Amino acid sequence: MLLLALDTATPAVTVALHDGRDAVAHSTVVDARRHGELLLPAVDRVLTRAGAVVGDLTGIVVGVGPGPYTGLRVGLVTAASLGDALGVPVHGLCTLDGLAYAARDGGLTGPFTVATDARRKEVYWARYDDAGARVTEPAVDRPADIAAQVAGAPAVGAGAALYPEVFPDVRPPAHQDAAALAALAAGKLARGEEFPPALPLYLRRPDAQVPAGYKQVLPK
Amino acid sequence: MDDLDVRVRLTVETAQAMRELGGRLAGLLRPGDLVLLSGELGAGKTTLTRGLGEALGVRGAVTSPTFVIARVHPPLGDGPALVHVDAYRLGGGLDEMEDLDLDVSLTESVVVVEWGDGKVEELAEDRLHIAIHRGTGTAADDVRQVVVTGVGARWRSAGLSGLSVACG
Amino acid sequence: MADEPLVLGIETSCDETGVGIVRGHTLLADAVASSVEEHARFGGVVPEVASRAHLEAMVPTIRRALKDAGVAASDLDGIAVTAGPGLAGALLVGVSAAKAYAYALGKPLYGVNHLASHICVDQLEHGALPEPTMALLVSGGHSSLLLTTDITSDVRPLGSTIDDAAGEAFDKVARVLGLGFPGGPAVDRYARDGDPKAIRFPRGLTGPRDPVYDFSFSGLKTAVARWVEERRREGADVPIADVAASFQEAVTDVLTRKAIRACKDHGVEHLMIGGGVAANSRLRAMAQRRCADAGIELRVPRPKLCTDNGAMVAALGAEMVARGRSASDWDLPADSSLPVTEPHVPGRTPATAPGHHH
Repeated sequence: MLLLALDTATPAVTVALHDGRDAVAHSTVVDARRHGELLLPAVDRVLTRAGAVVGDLTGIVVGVGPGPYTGLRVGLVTAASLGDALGVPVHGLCTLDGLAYAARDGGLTGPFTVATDARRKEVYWARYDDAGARVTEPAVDRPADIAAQVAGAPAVGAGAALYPEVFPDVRPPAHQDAAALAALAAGKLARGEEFPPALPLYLRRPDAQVPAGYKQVLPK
Repeated sequence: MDDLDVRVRLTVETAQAMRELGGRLAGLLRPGDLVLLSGELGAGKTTLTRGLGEALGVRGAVTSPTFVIARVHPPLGDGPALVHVDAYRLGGGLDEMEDLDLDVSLTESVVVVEWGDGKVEELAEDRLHIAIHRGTGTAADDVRQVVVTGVGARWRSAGLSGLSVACG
Repeated sequence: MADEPLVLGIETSCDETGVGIVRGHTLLADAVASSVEEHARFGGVVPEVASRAHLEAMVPTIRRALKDAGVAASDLDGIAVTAGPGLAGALLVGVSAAKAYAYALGKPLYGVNHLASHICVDQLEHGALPEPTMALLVSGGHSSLLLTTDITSDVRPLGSTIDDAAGEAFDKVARVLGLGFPGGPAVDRYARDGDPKAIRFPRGLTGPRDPVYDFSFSGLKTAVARWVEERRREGADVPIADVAASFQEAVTDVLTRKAIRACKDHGVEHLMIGGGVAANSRLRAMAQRRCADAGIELRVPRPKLCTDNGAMVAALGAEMVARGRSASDWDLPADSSLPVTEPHVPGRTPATAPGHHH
């Protein structure tokens, strides 16, 4: 098998290839403004590094967020389009789960929190138990509002590092690496586990208000 | 408004003068600056922004962004980009502007938001409010009263008083 | 005809997810998923709503277009996509999808200009575009007079709106009159029962010292709003049909007058009108009469090809392939203010093996 993993739900544009045993190539560039420009060249790069062509792919896994929407959509529509054009399945995975997997792979033990930057003084976050299983639904909150829930356990992710008063004990990694996402997915595939749908976790609603009347011309 | 806010009042006689005011304003702006424009329909918000865009040296003529909500004008030289937003229809504030990625572009751009008061203030601690008022309400009257208010430390010594030069 | 380029085009610059397939000048499929009803209650397009809808509709709309056209993706000669101008986040969804399909299928990618596409679409209706052609592009976001001698490489802006686009003025006047969104069709409908001479609204930038080819609709919009507000303030009924007809007359009068002036000044015998406002019945009728009087041949595509659609993008992409233009690179950006002088975004290296960059 040859699994392509990609995630654009954080400032990192990250892509990896996994052959079922190992991540055979990966690329991570941190640039919050250019997801759309960086992603496809990164896909091309990892395939070239692995000596593979796009037609060799047997499946695609994509981080579904939560994350800032514009970047998030780049990854999701790219994964869906590649999957449709190649006729291979597209699996979704929570972006926070990829960071959690990488943290445990790096030696983190015990319960912990993963937090990424949601901008506007908020974080996307979830808590994990000492077996690395997520125990809360991903959410978006102001750090001060969740201080009690995350107290006493280390935190992972660049979002946590922004708020040391709430997350005093921050552990690596700071950024998502698609190699971790790919390894997590490869394990789930081997165990025959279900994947969440490859649909975006927005968490915030675009609740535009219906304008009352119109812009007045005459002074009121 | 805070006592520490800087306020300048100007009388702008013509559309051309409004454009020139935009040009002088451009000289004071740098990446990361947020400008909120308010004023009735046809008050001259886009005219002011056009002068601003010309003086900043950005690509493309500045026209009304109402339909597309936001337009990014990249710099032609070394200056900042201009992001021109009409927030009128976006009643719910930043959530429905999520797509515009204003938070990301603000660090390297000048962001001008028409009808942004009460909607986008949380983007930046420091910001410039510009209110344009039509004088009497007769159609032929081009004279506008402009009130420029600098909010936050950024504007305390930024030379806002220089805006009134040549404005009569 | 089978040797003409078979191209799929993707358009997501605003609220329509459009996917079209053409073979040369022949339209094979024109699939559109619109989120306009979601936007209607907000009185206009909401970018975040549009981008979400594009993501949901992208793959299904591409599948539908391929099915309608009865072609296999592997048979395509290229994939074209609107690279700009338009809503940045919305464009990005289409551009990302186009790259992924092109890359996975091993096809060249053509990032093309939305405005040039609005002109090129007429090839699907009336055959090869005469060279030169004068184009009047009028939509919610644009009002421009463009002279093109080669739609793939030479589009010259002669004039454009200095404030509001024509379609935007329709939307705003419709809002003033309480006619809903989008405003164009509603104003058109009411205007049929009104007197276009009832109120003499101003014709922007038509004075002797004004720019000859530029437009201004902000003053007109303000004048309509002022007229209506004054009526209401007096407690009088607002004659909606007359206001709609008189406003529409002012817009179409200026648009057609300037377009014909541009044709005459430049010795151009063909005028095409494109963009959503080209669906307006009064504009079509007035342009028809004035062009006939001036000895100019008028080309206006059917309304469905005037509004945003994927077929127009495919049409321009097919022309890029036919004329051997360079494909775009895989890092093609979405550019919300892409200048009309750039009909497409060529790659940095000449396309020796288009689409097979790896």
